[in-house]
Amino acid sequence: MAVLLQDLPVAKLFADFSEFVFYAHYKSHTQATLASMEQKLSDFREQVQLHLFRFAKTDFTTPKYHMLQHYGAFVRKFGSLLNGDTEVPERLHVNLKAAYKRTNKKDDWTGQMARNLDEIFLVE
Amino acid sequence: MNLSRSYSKRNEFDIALRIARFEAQPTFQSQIRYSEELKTVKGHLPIKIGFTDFCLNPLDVYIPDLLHQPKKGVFANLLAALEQYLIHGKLLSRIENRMAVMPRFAQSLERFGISWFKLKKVTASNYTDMVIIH
Repeated sequence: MAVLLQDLPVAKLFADFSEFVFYAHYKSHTQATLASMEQKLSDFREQVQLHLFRFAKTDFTTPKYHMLQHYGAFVRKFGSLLNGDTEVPERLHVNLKAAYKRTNKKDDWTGQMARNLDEIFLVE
Repeated sequence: MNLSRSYSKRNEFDIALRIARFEAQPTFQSQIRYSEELKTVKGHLPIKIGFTDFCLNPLDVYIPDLLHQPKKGVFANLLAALEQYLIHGKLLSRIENRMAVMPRFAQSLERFGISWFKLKKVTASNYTDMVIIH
């Protein structure tokens, strides 16, 4: 992203954001990595105020944008953020959605889904 | 159920203390009695850790999925604001051309044939590819 926008002033903004997310994905942290993660976030927020704030529709007051500043505290309290990541089990939503499509969507659709998934697992 | 009130009172020390007290019970029967006592505390829910039932505040135990938020929540807003920024500076076509010719240089990196701003549905993995976060 920063490469595409390399000759524009917003390039640093996206570089800071991607580095912040890189730090957030660390498996283990030290005080130094947490400090640099928070430094990248403050740089990113400054850049947003400078360049993108007046063009945004949402004014960057959303809860998700606000939550970024609590990442350091969450890591200090619970450990690495990868512990709470739901990206891997989310892949299994596809099977459940497909099973729901095969029900009559009226009576005992949960039972129908369970039977359907059982049959599929037996065939496989 | 007033979770905020109980959250201010209970902390990690309380959880550790309860688990230690539970394990210090001499018999299995007294362990069950102790967990039944915990269930009477207002604002606490039964939670299973390992094979043991505890009655704890969920806000103290569960970690929210924070890694999804910068991808889906923040980056979507950034991309929309960037589009307006490029339109304002009359740079949109130049950047869109760059996006279209960007090569596929990593195994998992998706190649976007059209402009990123014209995508109908953008998933979290698309955002990952855009920022190149792995």
